[in-house]
Amino acid sequence: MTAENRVVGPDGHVDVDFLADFAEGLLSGADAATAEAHIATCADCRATFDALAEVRTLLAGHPAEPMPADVYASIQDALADAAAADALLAETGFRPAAAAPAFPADHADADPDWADFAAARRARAVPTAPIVPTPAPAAPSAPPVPQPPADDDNGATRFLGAAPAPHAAPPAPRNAADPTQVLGAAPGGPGSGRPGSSGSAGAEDATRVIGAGDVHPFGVAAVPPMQPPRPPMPAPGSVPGGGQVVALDSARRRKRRYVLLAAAAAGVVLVGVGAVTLLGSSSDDGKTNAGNQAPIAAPSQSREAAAPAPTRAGGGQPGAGTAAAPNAPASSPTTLPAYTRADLSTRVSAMLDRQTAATGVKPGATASSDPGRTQPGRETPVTLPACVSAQSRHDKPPTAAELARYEGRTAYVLAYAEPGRRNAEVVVIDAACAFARPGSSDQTSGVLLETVVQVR
Amino acid sequence: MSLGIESAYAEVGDAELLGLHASGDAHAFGELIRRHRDRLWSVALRTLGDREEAADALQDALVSAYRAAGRFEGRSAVTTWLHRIVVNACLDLARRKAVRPAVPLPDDLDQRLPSPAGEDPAVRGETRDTLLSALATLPAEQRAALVLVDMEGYPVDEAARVLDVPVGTIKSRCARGRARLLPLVRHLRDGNRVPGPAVRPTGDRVAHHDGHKDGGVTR
Repeated sequence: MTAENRVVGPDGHVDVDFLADFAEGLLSGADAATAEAHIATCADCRATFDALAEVRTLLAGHPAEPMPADVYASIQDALADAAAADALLAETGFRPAAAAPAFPADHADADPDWADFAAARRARAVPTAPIVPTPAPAAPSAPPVPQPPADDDNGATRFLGAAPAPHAAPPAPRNAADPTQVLGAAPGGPGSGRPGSSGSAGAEDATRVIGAGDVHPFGVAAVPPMQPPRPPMPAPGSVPGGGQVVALDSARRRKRRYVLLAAAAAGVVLVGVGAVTLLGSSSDDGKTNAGNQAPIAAPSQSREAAAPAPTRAGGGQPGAGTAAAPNAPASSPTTLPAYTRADLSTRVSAMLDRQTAATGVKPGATASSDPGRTQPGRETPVTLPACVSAQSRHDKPPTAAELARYEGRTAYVLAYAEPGRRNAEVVVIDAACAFARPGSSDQTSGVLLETVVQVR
Repeated sequence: MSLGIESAYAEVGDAELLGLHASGDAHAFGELIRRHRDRLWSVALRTLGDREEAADALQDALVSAYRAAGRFEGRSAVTTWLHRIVVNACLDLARRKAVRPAVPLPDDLDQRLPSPAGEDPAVRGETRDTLLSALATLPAEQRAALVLVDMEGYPVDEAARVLDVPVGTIKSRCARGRARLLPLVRHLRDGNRVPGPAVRPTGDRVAHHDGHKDGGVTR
């Protein structure tokens, strides 16, 4: 068969697929030359070829829609739920049984790169004992669905994209302790609307427990109170049909998520009450039993504080657990200044010095020069969110302030200095409220520290 | 009020943000999502063509990314990694949706595509909706390739990394997708030309005719 016969059909024209391939440079040399010669002489095929290019232009000109606020809020909710569920599991100190993740070995056979990746995944997939006390890993725990790539370059597409391999392990059974269920993964099946419920999600990671280094993505370090679910997003109006059914699915799924979250919370409470009862019965001699307060106090503490001591580096220094998280990249930068209670005086002095150097005004002068302001001095390196300012007892703006890490948490450090004095009042306020969604309990995240320190 | 946290992270790169998140920073992941939310949303919406489904897929994908951040090894850009997770979530949802009855396209779809020249916002909105509907007729893999390359402007090799397929497969999927869309935009061949920039060259003219699992010529 000649190239001409292959390219030009019996109707005397080039097939549109052939033209599309030609436009994309997918034809071999002889076929491409034939197609090009034909297009040069055939007006119809040239018009089709041009129209293909215009389809591309039409697609490129399709305006992008910014993420709607309700979708963004929904994502924040989901991340908050994930963090809360992980925190619940971390505080129980248990991890349920893990199943070996499924590997699409058919892809491994076809792709050497994927084979390497799959082999690495298999090597890591060591099933764990049914119930194992978890030493609080720092890396976030496992994806419910879909399973993201274990590393960044391989696997995700195939892991999710391919149908489960015939020899793939079955999906992990969902139970009350399974984060994927707590997070609202509906049972798989048509209409559930949950990506990854086809069973390809690895159960290995789904049973991991968030540990010392994991905090709420928007600052919630403790279990948030139960909240009613957000109303489902309005039914889509842009695409006809099907929207209400999907919205109902979502509403059910979100409702289920909260029910499961509540069940998990109840479980934690029961465990805590049980621990109190047990420990209380052993301390009937009237001695103070500090230990039996731990299970109750844990939910209101950060996960770092509640984490087992061995997971902390730096001799158990508060906050060291996050800095020495085992999964943290060795070169993980810490861009925020790290304050601790021990070096508070030194760091506050340095902050005030920077303020003085920037403004040329001695500590206290900036604040007194504009007492009506709610913001710190104009050279203060950070603008305070209103929720942070509101938590300071001071009516005047701080002399200096900055966003920092304090005892492992992101917080605003506010310093109030008076002229001529060698001490300054310091207020450390959790920055969680700055990222909290409107109306949530995270809006008031609390004063972490209020003290007076000596300054230079 | 503006967030000081945003300015605090202004100089921090995406990979650094992910590292901070993995090491326990409470706000790093939120900042990462804030930076890329519009583009991630755009990819999800265009790939699925349904606002509610896109929201669900994106939500699940980002929760997954939140938890998998510790396993990111930096061998690709963070945005590529995020897009991969989102696109995969969308494709997974689209595949499962494919077993359900699809909403039929209107018979006069091609007639409803208006001329872009001088169109008013309502017409433009209709064009957008109709184009999404037309995209919805494509197989999910072709749709994802077209969304990334033609709509989002990703280079072909970057789209190949996002979808974890060879470059030739991306090209083939794009070619097939455009060929399928062509009958739906027939009016373009009747004189209503789309204004805009010239079509970008794909650059790679190496023949990939053979060996693409969904490529090749169908005649």
